[in-house]
Amino acid sequence: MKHSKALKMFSVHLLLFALGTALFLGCAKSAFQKGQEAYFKADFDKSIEYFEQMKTKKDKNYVLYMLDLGTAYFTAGDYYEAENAFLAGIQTMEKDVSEAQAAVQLAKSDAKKTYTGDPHDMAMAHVFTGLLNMELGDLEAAEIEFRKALESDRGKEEKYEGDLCLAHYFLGQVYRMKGELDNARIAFRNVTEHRPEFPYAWYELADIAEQENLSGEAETFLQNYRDKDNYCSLGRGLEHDPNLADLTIVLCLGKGPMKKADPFLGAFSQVAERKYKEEYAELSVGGALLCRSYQVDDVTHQAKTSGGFGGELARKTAQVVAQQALQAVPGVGLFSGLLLGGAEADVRYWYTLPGEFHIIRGLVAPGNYSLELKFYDKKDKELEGYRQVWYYVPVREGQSNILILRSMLGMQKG
Amino acid sequence: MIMTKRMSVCSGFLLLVLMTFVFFCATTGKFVNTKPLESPPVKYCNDATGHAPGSKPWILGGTCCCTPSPQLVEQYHRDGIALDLTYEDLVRMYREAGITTDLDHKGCNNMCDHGPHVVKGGKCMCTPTPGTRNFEQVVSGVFVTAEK
Repeated sequence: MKHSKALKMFSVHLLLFALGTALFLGCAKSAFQKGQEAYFKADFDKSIEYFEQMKTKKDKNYVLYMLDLGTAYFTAGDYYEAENAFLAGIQTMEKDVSEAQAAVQLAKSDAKKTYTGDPHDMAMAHVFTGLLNMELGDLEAAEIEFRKALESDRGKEEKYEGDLCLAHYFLGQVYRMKGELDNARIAFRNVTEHRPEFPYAWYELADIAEQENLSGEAETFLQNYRDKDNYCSLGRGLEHDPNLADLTIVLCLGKGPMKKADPFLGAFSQVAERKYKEEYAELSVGGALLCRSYQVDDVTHQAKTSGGFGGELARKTAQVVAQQALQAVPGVGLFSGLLLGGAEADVRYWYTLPGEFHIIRGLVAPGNYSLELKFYDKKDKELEGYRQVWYYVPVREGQSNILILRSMLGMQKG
Repeated sequence: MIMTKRMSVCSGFLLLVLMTFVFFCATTGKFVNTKPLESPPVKYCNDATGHAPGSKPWILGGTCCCTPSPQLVEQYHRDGIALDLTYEDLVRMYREAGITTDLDHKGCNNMCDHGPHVVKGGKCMCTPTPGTRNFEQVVSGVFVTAEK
């Protein structure tokens, strides 16, 4: 009787222990997930610490580690390490796999496969590298990166090829600084074609036309600018006031796209939007309202329209054929599913990627300023907890004063 | 007896609701950014803020963290600071002290192996990145603890 009671108690304890262990293992997060969580809590140092731990693993998700690590360094303002991380990610994405490796990769399920990045991952990694080179004043490197971003921007259809307006816009800026007006005009033209509602490209076209004494054309472009920017933060005319300097803020807004299994074709993944509240931001410089932000690129749209479906279809077909062939081998068939996994969709994605890129520009007197950014939702209601204030922001005459910021809830807790 | 059973079920349910509410509040708490628009004064100048006239080089016990350049040394001389100091001397002094500047590398926001910034007790004097917490802490000299 006593034994039976003790046995019962032992069984209960064993069951509780097993349940506890299962719960613990289920809830235990990898350093990678912890890094991603820390990033969106604006704890970039912690986030970098976690991502750095993953870097040494060099496993199938190495590219994703590098892209997240690069974004974390980028947001924390360490452009040196951000560039190293992005370049490591890009190099791995570009790496050619050997035929033997390709055959093994082909038979594996997507989740077990080495992540080699989507076309928009590659394009965005080049965009970030271009931006940080702009910030560091290395125009040559920035030009190369923005060009590569456009080359990697493969579209589902021809009209979506090379439609990354941020890359075109900054290429235009680089060409202007180098005095290559023809190239600059083409770059800004590309922006106005893909995103006609973006005002600053119209202003640049007007300015270039003015420099080339095409006053009629300049006036048309300028009118387009005035129609699109109610704040007219670059001025209503094209006269350059020598007492004013140009301030540009690149705003990384919201959360980038996610991937989920297609509800009809479970083996395929589809790009889905991640929810976030920020719609736009308003900028005040030294306490005075300067202007609002304008979207230059929608990253989710870029991901949805990026090419590769044909490639994915072929890959998937080959994968299913390879798995079926393996299943036919006596003694292997039973275990092939276990070894290779099913043909489920690959839903891995670049978690810390922003959802949109916005630009804010304005002319202010040279000096060091306190900047205030207020964020608004779709209903023009200010979002509590998103406000950002940055001190001593330098605006210098004759320099491209570029500041790169990211919207985030609780970025400046207090 | 029946009442007691009902009561225990109700209290259990209430406890569950209360715990859910506490969990909800803990995870979705509102942040309010009360950071004022007026910044603390610039205590330590650097290449981004521009040189503060009259400030002595960091290596000589001053508050100037600007990258050494012949123009900067001339400015020191105009302000009557370290009149016998040459540009080469200044670069050598920083190197001998193991302090890295923008002459060595750029863009690390003092997160490199030499970091944090000298103001925070490290060995990196590279210009911090504007629009970051580190930049504000370095310029104002206001930070909680010196890391490293």
